[in-house]
Amino acid sequence: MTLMAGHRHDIEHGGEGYRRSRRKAGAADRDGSKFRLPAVAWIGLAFILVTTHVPIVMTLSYSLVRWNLQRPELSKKFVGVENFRNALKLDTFYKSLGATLEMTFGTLVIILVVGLGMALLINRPFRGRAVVRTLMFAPFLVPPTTSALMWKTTMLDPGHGLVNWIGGLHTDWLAKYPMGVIVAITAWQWAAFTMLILYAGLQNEDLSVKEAARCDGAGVFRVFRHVTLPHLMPHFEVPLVLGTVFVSQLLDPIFMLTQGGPGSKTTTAAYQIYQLAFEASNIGLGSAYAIIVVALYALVMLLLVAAMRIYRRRGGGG
Amino acid sequence: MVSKTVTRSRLTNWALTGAAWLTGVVVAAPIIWTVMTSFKTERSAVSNPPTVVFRPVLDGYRKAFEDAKFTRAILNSGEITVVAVVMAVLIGYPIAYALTIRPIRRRAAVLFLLVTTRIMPIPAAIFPFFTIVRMVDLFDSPVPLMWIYGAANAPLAVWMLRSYLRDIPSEVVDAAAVDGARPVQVSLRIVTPMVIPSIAAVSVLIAVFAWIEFFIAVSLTAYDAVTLPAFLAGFISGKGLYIGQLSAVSVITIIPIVTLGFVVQKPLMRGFANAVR
Repeated sequence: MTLMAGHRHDIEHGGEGYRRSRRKAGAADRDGSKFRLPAVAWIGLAFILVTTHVPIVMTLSYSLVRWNLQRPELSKKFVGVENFRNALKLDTFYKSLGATLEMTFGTLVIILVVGLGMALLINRPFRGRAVVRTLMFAPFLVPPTTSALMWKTTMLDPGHGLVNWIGGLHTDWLAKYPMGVIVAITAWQWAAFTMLILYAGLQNEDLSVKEAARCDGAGVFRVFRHVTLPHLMPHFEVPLVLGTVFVSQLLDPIFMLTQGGPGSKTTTAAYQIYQLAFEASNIGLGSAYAIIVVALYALVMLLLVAAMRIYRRRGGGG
Repeated sequence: MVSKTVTRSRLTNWALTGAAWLTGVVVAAPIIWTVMTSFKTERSAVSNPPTVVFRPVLDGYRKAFEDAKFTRAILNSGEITVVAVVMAVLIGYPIAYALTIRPIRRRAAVLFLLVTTRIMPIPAAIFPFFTIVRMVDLFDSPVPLMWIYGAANAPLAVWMLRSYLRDIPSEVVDAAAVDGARPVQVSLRIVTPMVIPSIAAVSVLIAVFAWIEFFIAVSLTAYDAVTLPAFLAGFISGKGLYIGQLSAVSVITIIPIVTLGFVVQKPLMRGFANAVR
């Protein structure tokens, strides 16, 4: 999201004492300002890049090498793209991509719908609003490991779990719907985040437009559809982008609850990479796999950004 | 959604308020229930049907703190979180400043570089981390975690701080510059004091991320430097049956960030809202 935010806002403090319009931002970006990045910032930037990019380069180099810790008799050796070819041949590769999509998409749909619903519910004055907002936001502050543990042992346990008791059921949720449980737990946390962002967006809404629409005879739903929703559209960006990034890479609930199983039902790409590197000790293959996944992530993010740009240009949203 | 109009009947208002309360309670139910369970005896924690009314006991907490590894994990997590937050803010603030108050050349390139730090899936970076940490003999030490959390969260600090710094009217900065203040003075005396609350909000967000990080911690620690989430992973396999104790441990992992989170809920919200404006 920094990418998108960056392009739109860079110029607001042009240094010339006025704010340029958003439209001109792109052009002014290129002729730039006379300032250079100060030394402190340079050091910090270098520090970040070394920490986050050196591993990427290392992974890239590992991916071109035959390197399996369990088979020391095969010495480390440069093998070109062989690891990539092998990764693409694996059945599990496509399965893990499918599982990742399932987890990410399922979670995103739920958090956007539920998050919006919760934001709308608290976007009107009532007794105890602050308490309700706090209750709704709380799940986001629970560590994902704790969240997985909590849900497994106190909520979904087939014997003494609260869900079965309230529903009068005897379901072993985790065994029956492993991916469903992971999606539900993840969505539980990220819906809270989405709620907060969308609520902030709703608070910014220009009420006079809404009143005007209502005076023109538009009903509650039409006002929502034609006034509130378009206003809210850019606010979906943050949960959508952040959610995609974080959820698709999430390992905690899988690690804590299913270990990728049963079978490979909950083996996402991230978990598969972990297994290849740490359990199968096949560093070369795991790294090649990781590089492919990173490339796919980058592609998805670019498409997302492009879609938002197009949406904006067509006059939607802010 | 707005109840100011007279058209909405009282009944609808009541229904909406009820729905809001019900949703809030349902959403927070797992947390509330875990807190309740943490004060139960082991026997009543696993009773079926669950006990709703009970006499609270501290058995779970007592047993949790008897575990030396747990107290160590709390201290480690606290220490690592504090260092990581300080690092991320110290790194992130000057960059955010240079990108916003005094826009520099090639802002877009710098921002793009910062975005690229987030696309690597952690498991793909973990093996290099592991290799390097082993090489410099820092396995099971808190230092690599402080370093990684600090550096990896700095881009987030940049992004959030930018959204706050944009709120400062450029006239303020310009006026100070006209009065002859040097850029460093403008920054330290005028701009920075204005964004202290925002820096607090950002710090909390980063603290949350450092406090909850699991994967890197579990891969780079074993005993001495184990953090709370990594401790929990061991807990589930070893003591999965002690629900009361487990709930007590869960509550302890939640309390610090929930407390901090509520304190800065509003500035956080504003930061995110600004970031999309």
